Amino acid sequence: MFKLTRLLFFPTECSAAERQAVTQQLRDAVAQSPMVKRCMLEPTLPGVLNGGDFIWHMQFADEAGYRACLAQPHWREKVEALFEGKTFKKYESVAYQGGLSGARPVRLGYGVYRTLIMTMRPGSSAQAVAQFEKELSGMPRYISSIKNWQMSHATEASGSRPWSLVWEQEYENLEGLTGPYMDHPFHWALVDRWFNPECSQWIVDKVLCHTYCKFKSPVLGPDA
Amino acid sequence: MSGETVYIVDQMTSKPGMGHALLDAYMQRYAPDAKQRGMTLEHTWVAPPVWLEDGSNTLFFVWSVKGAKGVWGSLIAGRRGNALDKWWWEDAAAMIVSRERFFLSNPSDIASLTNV
Repeated sequence: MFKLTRLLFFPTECSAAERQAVTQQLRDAVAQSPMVKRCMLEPTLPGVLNGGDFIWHMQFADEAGYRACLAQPHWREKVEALFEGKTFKKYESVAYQGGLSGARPVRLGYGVYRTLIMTMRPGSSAQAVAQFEKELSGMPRYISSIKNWQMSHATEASGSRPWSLVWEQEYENLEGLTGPYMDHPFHWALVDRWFNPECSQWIVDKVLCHTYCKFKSPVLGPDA
Repeated sequence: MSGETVYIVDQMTSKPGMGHALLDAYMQRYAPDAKQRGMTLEHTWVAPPVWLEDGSNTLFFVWSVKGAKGVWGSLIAGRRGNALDKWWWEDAAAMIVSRERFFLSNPSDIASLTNV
């Protein structure tokens, strides 16, 4: 699957009704786009960091489908016009081919989707980045609350940074993220060193997107 | 999991002749803020136990915090702003050949630390 994730930041003064109208316009555009194989547009939960008000996530069969979607006249008129105008205070966007992934043998219905969108500090060595990615993708082996996951490299990105890496997970509930994911020593004693300016391993830019929302059906794993 | 002791160890090898200056800088410019972030300094060690004039000393600082929440408490507060970035990547870096930070526990605490 090829994926596009956009984090939508509405102006503070934008009313709930106005937000509803905009998100409905996006849903309508998706409904008219057969190349979109899966779509999730959900409000973020409290506690996100540069995570936006909504997560808009779409999946396509391949990159050609993604490009065909963006090239549609109605997409340019109804969707891109929103992003080029002042509808949003800002947005973060990343398009990527789905990368290394895994899933636990559990069928998720409702749950919590979380994505971490990041980029590396200038000068980070390829060897360090490879070791970081190895450790990051090793988290699900030790942290059982991660049910489905995928680590992907960005093809296109815009927003606060030239995003390069996307780390997605699905949990049965928010506690899986705020509890075991955060509390496990594999996270804070190993993986976090790459995010930590106090450690010599630090390579991940401090500006990142840590965001999550409830989902009604999974977008990762075998049931997606 | 409850409040197991987690140790945070900074191991730093100084540039030749700068071991004592590195110790002083660490204690004056890093340690006070670390204590504010909930870290307790348990040990300060130097090897070899003589300040080398034309060689490198290796310093070890052993801190302790309580459990994962103590670790995150010490980390997150330090990531606001750029003061720690500057300390580690400019000020301290000017006196250091190499450094490493370790997060450790007693082996008997692994079962409870990983039972999350």
